[in-house]
Amino acid sequence: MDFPIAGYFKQMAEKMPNHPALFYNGRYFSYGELMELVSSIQQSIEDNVPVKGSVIAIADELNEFTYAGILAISLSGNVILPFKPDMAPERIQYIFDKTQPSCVLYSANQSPVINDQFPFLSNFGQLVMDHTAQVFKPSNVTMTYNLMYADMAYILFTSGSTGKPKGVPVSRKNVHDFLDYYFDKNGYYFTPEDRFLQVFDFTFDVSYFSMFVPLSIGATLYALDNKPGRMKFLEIIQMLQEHKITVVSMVPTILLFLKKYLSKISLPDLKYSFFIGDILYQDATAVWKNCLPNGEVHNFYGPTEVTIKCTRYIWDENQSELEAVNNIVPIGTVFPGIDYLIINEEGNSLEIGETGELCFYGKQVIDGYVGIEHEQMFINIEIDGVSRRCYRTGDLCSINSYGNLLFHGRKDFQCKINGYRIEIPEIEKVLYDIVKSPVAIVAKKNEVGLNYLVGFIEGQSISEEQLKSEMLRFLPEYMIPSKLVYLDKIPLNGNQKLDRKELSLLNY
Amino acid sequence: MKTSEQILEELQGIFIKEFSDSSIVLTDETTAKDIAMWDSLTHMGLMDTIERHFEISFSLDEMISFKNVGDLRTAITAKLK
Repeated sequence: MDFPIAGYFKQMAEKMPNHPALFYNGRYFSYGELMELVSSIQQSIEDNVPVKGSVIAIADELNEFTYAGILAISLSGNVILPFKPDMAPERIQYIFDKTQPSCVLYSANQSPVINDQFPFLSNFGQLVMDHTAQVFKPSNVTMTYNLMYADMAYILFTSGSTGKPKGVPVSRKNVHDFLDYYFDKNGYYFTPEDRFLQVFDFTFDVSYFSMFVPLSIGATLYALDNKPGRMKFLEIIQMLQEHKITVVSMVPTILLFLKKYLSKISLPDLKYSFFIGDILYQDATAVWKNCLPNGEVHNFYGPTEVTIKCTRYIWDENQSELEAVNNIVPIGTVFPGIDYLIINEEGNSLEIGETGELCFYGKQVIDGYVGIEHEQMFINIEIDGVSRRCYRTGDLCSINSYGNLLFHGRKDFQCKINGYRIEIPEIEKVLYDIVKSPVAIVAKKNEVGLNYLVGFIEGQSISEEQLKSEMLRFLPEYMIPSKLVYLDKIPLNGNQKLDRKELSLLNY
Repeated sequence: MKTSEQILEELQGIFIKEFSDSSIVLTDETTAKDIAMWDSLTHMGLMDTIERHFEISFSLDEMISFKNVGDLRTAITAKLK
């Protein structure tokens, strides 16, 4: 069975061609206009990449071409591989090496940047989208076909503990099952009059919710401007106010940033304020809820490996106060049809109330990563006499007496910076490769509770500025430590392991 | 009372300290895209430091309206009057 996740959009475009589909950079694109752009790109894909199920890379520029390109890749039955043109070239090259896309899609205004910064792209076919919606293919390239991921909707790369990013292929069926959660109501009543704001880029899976839900039901999608130097959090509030947004998914970090200004905000049009990607704090949520006289706050949880979102908690002024532990709002109950377990170190299932690692299996769970590494993220557990392959989230959770999941922290060395999941060993490897002396990265919290990274380096062979610019060649900016500290000796504990505890107590 | 030039000078000191970058030279036309570390993550911390330094406070609408250092300087000058 096929699961055309952009198929609903096509139906809407036929049904209501004049209704606004997308608002970007001060202008509206109707369903009809967007469909026209999509059709032209789709035609070009089908002419040049005739083998369905091919991986097609798309430069995530967050403009109308990105949206149309993603819809076109999906409608043509191919696999979306987003990359940000401002990503470190080495990272993009790694991603391309691993997935071997048939071609790369980008808009004409990106051509100089793409050609200048990513010379390796000349090895791949290229489709350039220009302002008259014409798509052309340079004549001197050959399309290659990698059908290993033919059933996938998209492949995203997340931070990996081995020092290299992990490729997460998510199938069309998984995305279809996920979207069904919203279309089966589950308390949601979206209409074509709804206005959704998308604040994330396409390398963050929540974007596929923010894009496909509104465009599947005939609502309007508002995209944040992608100009450099923008102050994203302020812009989000501005967009929410100015465009009377009714549905938005954000990372909870925004509440910590804007805490002291929240009391002056009122958003009477916002019906659903969704949070995902990090810990939602009870006190900040209570202040935020006051900004939404007619809105609900829903706290979601979902690793990329379990397709965008898989648990939900509806925040309630009185009840959540009772349920919050250490000021952390519960992540709620698992979506219907998804199976989960909480296990101990030995892989045995735990009782209600006990804390262990949260694992998922079945619906919405990926089968495996790109390549054969990272198999340790899966565990086979016998459930009712059947061996099930379970995805280990690395998150420590328990179930409270109300039946809601509580998040207690990470099991390993991951942390979240502005909603991005970061594997600390990945940064340490890059740092070590540059300085060639012992290093350690420690995640700390600032006075308002935001995570930031401090890098410790033994000796001083290279200046801080040089080091940061060198790291930017391999890592995105959010993975660069806010502070770099040079020590004569990196402290070790009794087991001669890096003493992260002592480092985290140092005042930086 | 501080002159507009003094305010710019003090702002420059704050930026240098906040972003640990002694090469920063501010003009009225400087925007976040000119300073690598000045982004949405560091912006609110910067605003907070500026508010405490000058003992003033900005509204969210004011912060949204700042397009460059010149706008920031004008707002600070007006508040210090």
